[in-house]
Amino acid sequence: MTKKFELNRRTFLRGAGGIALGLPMLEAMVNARPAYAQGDPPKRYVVMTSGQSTGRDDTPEVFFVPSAVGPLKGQTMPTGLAGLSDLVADFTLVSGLQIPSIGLDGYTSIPPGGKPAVTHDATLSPLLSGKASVYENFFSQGATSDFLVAQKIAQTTAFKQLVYRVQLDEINGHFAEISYSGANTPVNNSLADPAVAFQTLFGSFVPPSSGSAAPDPAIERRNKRRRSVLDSVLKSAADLEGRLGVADRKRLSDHLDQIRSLELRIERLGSSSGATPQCSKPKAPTPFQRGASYNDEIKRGEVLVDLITMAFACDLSRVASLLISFSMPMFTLPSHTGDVHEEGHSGGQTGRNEFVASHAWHLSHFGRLLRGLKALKEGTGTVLDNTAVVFAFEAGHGRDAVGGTLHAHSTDNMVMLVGGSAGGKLKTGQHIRPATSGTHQSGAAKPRHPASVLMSCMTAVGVPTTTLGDITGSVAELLV
Amino acid sequence: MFPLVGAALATVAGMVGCSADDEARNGSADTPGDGAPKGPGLPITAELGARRLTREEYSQTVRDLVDPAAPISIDQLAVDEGIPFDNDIALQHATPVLIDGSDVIAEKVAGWAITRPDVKARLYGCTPSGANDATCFRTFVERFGRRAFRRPLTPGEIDAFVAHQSASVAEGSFDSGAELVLWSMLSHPALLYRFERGVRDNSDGSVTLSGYEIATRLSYFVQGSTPDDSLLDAAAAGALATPEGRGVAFDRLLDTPLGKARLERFHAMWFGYAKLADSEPLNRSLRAESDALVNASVSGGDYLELLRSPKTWLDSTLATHYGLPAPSVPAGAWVTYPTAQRRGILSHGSVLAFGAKNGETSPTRRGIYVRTRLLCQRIAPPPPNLNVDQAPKGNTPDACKIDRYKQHASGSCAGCHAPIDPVGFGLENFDSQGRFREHDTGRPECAISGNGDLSGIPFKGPVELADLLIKSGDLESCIAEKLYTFTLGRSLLPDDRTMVTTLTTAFNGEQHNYTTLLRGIVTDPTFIYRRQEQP
Repeated sequence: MTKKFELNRRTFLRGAGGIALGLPMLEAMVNARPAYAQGDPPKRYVVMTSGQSTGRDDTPEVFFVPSAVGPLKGQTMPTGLAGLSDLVADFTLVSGLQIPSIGLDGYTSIPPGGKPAVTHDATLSPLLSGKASVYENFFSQGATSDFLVAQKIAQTTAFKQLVYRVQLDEINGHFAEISYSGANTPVNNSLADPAVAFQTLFGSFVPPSSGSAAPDPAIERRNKRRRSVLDSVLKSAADLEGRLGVADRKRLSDHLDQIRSLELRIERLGSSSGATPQCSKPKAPTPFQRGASYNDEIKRGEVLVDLITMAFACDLSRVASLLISFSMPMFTLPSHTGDVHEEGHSGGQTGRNEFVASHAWHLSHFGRLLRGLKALKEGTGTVLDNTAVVFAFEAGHGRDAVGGTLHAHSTDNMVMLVGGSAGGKLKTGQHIRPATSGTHQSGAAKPRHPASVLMSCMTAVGVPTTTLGDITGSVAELLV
Repeated sequence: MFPLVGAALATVAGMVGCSADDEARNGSADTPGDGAPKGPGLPITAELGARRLTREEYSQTVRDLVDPAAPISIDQLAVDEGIPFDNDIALQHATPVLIDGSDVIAEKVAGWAITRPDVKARLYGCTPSGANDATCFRTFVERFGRRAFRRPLTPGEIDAFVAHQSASVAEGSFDSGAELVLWSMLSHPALLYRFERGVRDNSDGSVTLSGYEIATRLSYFVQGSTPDDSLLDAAAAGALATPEGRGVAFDRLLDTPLGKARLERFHAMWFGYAKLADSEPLNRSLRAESDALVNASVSGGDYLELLRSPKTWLDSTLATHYGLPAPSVPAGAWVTYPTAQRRGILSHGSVLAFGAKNGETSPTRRGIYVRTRLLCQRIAPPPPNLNVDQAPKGNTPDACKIDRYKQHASGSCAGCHAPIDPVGFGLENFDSQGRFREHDTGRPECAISGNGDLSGIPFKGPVELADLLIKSGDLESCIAEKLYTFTLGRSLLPDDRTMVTTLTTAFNGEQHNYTTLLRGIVTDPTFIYRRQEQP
């Protein structure tokens, strides 16, 4: 069911009262046409983060790196990837990455795309935006890849990007989002409550495959009433500018821009011509259990992944980020004796086993999304064939700037997983160890930076990028 | 209709660039003496921008506007992060979650309100004769609008909301359009933000606020919620223009459950225990203990009892937890500490929980807490080449905690750690849940001396620390500074020093009466002015 897109009075209210219009001109406003031409499915992009590293203090055990470079199929899966063995044809693992650090490799100040000695809260910026972190500031110092991709490929969907989070409370850590439109500017407050995420996505949505020719009257009425509410707010707010200072005017106009975005979103909810046949409205999630440290993360994580899957199926969005755990995740999973952070540092054999289990839990989100997208038919393949899903660990395993050569705080030997082929542009089913490129201050060979992996993925989904933050060049070995 | 009185016309004449809408918004007389456009003189007037209601304030506001039982799904809005207060303007951005959340909350409350005959009757203020009763609809818009926007609506605003009556007519129900009015107003930026346009630009660069804006400041300061009808009436009559008028309003608003809750919440954020998860029963008991002491210290006259009180309010769970005598009432009662080991809030588990890492106390973080939150000192961040995530390791794997922390006292570490760690050492006999201990947890051979020092003056335990803080001479100005930070909703600027000094002097002069300190903010002549933010 397609809806003819009509410009109306609302369009001309924007800009009333002299408030600058901050929205891009919609393609759909110019020509009413489907979101994409037949035979050219849209691309999707997802970033997931884990607040864990890939190894444990003072133990050499390797959990995530297959012994050989090359095809994953046929190799023995390392311990950490056991839960993904049914998906070996669908993702590629990139190892040997590095975020440079002060105090190592000859650096006496934070290097470009680098980090201070401390790791917690300090790798987010270089990892996701390529910009070096500013110490004691735990926000990204640049736009993150998912925001940049959304600006280009999410022009016509109801939601520019979904910003979700699994770990509820930061518990003595720092609360930092993972999606930024610029330095210190998160895109949105991440949604951790599946009921709220569901309500936002599907509260007013009618799946095109619902069968009936007439839309649900209750939802139609609600959307119509919401539009008239938003209209009256925008109309009456035009007068609020009087006698306000510059900063207050900006606060007001930012707020009104968001209201206009909501209006646009409601309009677009009726025209999801990019939906796959399997688009349907999922069941509303049940309320979750709160606790002192564990807040139903396991159940909530599953629901949030499923919501991303169905949002893609219904073309409500094409870009998503999922913060699975904060840096230094100090919550405790059920039946674990230590918290998710401590497992990387201590606990002997129990700690080691719990480390493996909590990593398996983190990666289960990656696996669940891949399986979900693989089940959505699209063209001659699946939605996964047109997607790039990046899984990033906040740290690696190796040298630590404060001493130690096998440390969980190290950003040596970092690993990223890339799921999906993004329309055949990304290699799947491989273990890639990119060649080093250039040298550090000390003259040591410089491994590739995680931002380069992101650039490969951005390019593959149709946003060619050769510079991200301080880092240049994508990982050529990852691109077909 | 707008209650214009003589002075209002002079006000209108004195306005710069105002419109009829501004006049309608700002209503009547609100300046002390007329024709004195000088203002209080820089730099005393605080530089301020429009604060957005915090999640808590919004929730309470909607409850007060509609009904205490209104179903407000507060989880639709993001938690306001703050260090330590939740109302920092620098962190208030208009995000999609804010717009979605307030829209969903407003829709739900509006939908609920029209199903309740008692609520409807109160909000409408008239009995509609039918779906197209335009007089009643307009009455409702103006009446609810005045409460929702905290001032009379402008003609343009009234028109925009009255237009919703078309929905009533189309659906044959007055309530249908009224619901849209409620939905619109409860999600409106005029409600969500406290814009302070003012009525007059003064020659010193300050702006004089309208009576309604003064009422809004007063109400949110004392109760964290919207002005009631009585306060709006007082504003309209010009009663809030004088310190005496504001004092009367302050007294009335403070002595309410909302006023009490606001003070408790402010202290919980300041002292850090607002973050204790209340899903844990022990945390609820700890919170009740500290709330009780806060209330007693504020109403008792000598606020410093907060640090000195020989009594605490315990339930039986907490008494057992601390190893203190059971209260006479298991659900909670005042108990006198049997020894001099504990006095005041620094002895509370709520405060002693601060900065715990992996269930273990951090002397460094406790030291930073005391200096930054109680002495208002600034502690420089660690240098970027240090790893602060892990507790210091000792020279031997089994080193006792005090020995491990010696690492901080050596070399270049000492410069930063010398003023901090010893403060924490003085509290080490109390674990991260406030229980007394003689040795490191699980290590009987590691005795804890509990000897610490504050800037070289030795102390042992929270009681002696409290004593030192009181004697330091810096405590009172820090008390004033924290309160003023919360009042403004932003970090303090150099120009704010003057006001902090004024408040501190008054606080000392009034024998540390906290109510008087609060009242002094509201009755200060500068309370009715603001300055535009500098870029």
